[in-house]
Amino acid sequence: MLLHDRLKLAGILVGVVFATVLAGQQAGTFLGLLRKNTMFVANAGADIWIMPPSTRQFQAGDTISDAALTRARAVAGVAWAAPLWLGGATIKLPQGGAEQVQLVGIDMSRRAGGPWNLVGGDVSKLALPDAMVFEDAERERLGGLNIGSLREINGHRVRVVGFTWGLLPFGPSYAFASERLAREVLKVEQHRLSYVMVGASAGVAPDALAKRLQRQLANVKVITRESFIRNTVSYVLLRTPIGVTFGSSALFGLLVGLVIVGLTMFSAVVDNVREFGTLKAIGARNGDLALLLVGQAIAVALVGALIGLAIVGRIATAVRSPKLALDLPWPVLATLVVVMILLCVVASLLALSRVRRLEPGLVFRG
Amino acid sequence: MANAVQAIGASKTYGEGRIAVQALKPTDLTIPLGQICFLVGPSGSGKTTLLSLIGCVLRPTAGRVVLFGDAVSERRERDLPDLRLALVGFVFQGHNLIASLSALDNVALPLRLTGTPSLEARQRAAHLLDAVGLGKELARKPAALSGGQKQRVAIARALVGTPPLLLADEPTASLDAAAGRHVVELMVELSRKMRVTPIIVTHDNRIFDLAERIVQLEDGRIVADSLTAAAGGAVGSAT
Repeated sequence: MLLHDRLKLAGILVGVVFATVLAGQQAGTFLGLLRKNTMFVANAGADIWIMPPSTRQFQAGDTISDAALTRARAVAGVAWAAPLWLGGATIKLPQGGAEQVQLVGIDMSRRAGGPWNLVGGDVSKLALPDAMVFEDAERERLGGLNIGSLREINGHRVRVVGFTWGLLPFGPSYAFASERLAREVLKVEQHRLSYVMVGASAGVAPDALAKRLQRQLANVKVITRESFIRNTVSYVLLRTPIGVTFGSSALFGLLVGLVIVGLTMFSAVVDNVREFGTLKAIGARNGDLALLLVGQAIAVALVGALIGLAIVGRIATAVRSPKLALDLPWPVLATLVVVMILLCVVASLLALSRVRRLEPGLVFRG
Repeated sequence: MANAVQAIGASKTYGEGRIAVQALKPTDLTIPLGQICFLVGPSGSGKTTLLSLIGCVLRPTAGRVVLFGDAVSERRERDLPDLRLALVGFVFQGHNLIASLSALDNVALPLRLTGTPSLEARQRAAHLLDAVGLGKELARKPAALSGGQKQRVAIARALVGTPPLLLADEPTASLDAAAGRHVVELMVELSRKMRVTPIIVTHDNRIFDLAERIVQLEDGRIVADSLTAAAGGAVGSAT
């Protein structure tokens, strides 16, 4: 009955599509940002991370003693352990001004911790003096970088030997250097490092190995890769305004959708009040009419959500770049459809309240 | 003869206090099974209110309504939809078909509400639409039907569940004289064939000859009640 009125149907669909697009776009952007913040830990290849006890997410901060690295290598179940240095650095631009990068120093003997997704140059050249790899998407921002370009970082002259693609966290991009160069540029004290990455031997459970390492290493925090990712997500959600900002935008989209759908459905019931009265007069129970309304709400929600998701998909494709990527895994898409169904069912309750109060006797009145 | 309908001191007042309006004063009326009864009278005489009480869409303010021996006015509110579905077929003044449904689906609707499987409901609806002369219009929506056709669809919808009582409220009001007479003749014919008791509210005196009994209301009370020649007996008072 509601679907018969094409204008009303279009109104309801617009509400659902709007809510789906806004919520989907916000959720996708938020998850994309989360992925940016966790991608280093997820892709570095370590099963376990050893870090300063105060570390909440993968970022530059305190350092730990390199004794942790030595001791970790001696623990049973550890296949390998490699150091990692991380710190902020300032790169001078040829045209004047400066930009920030997050400099990652890697142990060249194992090359754990990147760089990966190389689209130009050669990782082995990081072993050359003053060699660095930068992010391809930041070439223009960093003053038109090319292979062989020279730049000054924290007062050190460095040469570009390669480019990564997509290694852009929520913040300055990653740049990679050898341990020796990174320590110099970041001015790290002797025998200090930012993280120790650990690989578990075959058949050794990372959880158990992390606990064993934690028992044997003092003044450090030892957690598995999955825990580190979870901690990072929790930190972003709870300790930064990002979660609230995106969450409130998505909520706003859902609220607007709810109001549009609710009012349109209510108005459709008011317009068809005689038909609902007729149904009641001929014996339809409130439950029958609730099924009718909710059934139509679910149908509209499904159609609207699918249209909305198609639009979000097009947006995601259009804006996809290393700087901005909407991350929309299928559980999020499925959740969006379920949320839209719930939204439409809730919205139909307003219309249902009108139908419930309807007297069948009205059909006999002029 | 057993009774289809009994109204015992049934009255209906709309509103309360100073704005209260008594649409139907305490009324006694008994209609035997199968009797073709017309409720007639001017606008505001209470005939539609009486029909609504009989059809269980309104509850009497006082008194009782008994259908086929069941004191329906004393039933709980939540029982009334099932009672209406089981006992009463309605034909409304404005046909009140569902605009988005085809003629076939409109007629099948009461059966679907009783839980009849879709295929069976549509087969029975098609059979009845054929009986009212609309066998070739099954797929048409109300907007594509004439006034007389719509009212015939409404008759089919009212009778498809084989209710023992057919209530029609001004079924000829939106039709020309010929179409109106044809619709009421069809109702009377099908009622006889299906052993239904029809009660028809009308003020169209051109069709009074189709009634077996005419109950006249004025100012919310019955002022005349008589059998007609069609009743097969002498014309005179029914009470």
